[in-house]
Amino acid sequence: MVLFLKAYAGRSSVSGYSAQTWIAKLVNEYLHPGSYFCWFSTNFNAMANGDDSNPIWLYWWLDRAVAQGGVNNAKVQQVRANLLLAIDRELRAAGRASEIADATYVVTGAPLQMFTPQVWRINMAAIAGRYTGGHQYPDEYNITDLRAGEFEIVIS
Amino acid sequence: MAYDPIQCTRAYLTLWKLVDRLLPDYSKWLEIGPIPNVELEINAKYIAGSSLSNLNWCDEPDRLRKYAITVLGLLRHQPLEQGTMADADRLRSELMGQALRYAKEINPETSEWPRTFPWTLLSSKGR
Repeated sequence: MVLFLKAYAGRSSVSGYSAQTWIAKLVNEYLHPGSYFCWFSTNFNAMANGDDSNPIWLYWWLDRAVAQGGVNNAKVQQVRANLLLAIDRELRAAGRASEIADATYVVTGAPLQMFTPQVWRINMAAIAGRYTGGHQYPDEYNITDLRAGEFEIVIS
Repeated sequence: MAYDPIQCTRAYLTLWKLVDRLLPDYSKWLEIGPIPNVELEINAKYIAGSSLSNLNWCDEPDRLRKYAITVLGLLRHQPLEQGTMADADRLRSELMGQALRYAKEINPETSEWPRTFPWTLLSSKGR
């Protein structure tokens, strides 16, 4: 059996990197199927950015929180709060307010394991012209309509 | 209107996000959808300017309104000075704690709405 291993440069103009969580990916898919909202950088270790805008730092922080059972870890709670805010806002905007109680209940009670981080590698060529830069940090980009075929989960 | 933990959660999440965005370590990369600041501010102003009877969906309307007034006060002083930043950080933690506390009180069992969220989400495998 032959195994083919892929390798990606940690810094590259052809790849974007984003640290997400398993639960955020699922909620993203639940709120707007087939379209993901995310922040990313062109360096896996985006040292020019603040820690909270650096995928390697976010991955490290969340992975450690999950491994150590940090249910009340500040970063885990921030993930939860951001998901709850998105659920409330987006379901109301989409005329799906009747789903808020269920979705909130699930996210509030979601086990820590669901906050396991993932690293996404985004194909920059595929999203050309659809992302924005010029935000708080130099290596920080935002896309509001990332599609399933335009990224792969390289660490999960 | 009766006590409504969904509205309480929404109110505290709104205030939390406004303060979160004032701080340098704000949790932008953890957001999964655009949330215009103006929308958050309108909601905060509504809470701050409401009578206690109009906030009767909250079990502690006075506390909520005071938080909203404090947050709007902070917004008028941005960018925050170093000393104010520590206070804002504490306020952010309190608001998030309140939001998550109310969120835990939301019980779909008592909701008249059908269950719609994919419950399999909790039993699927992560890695």
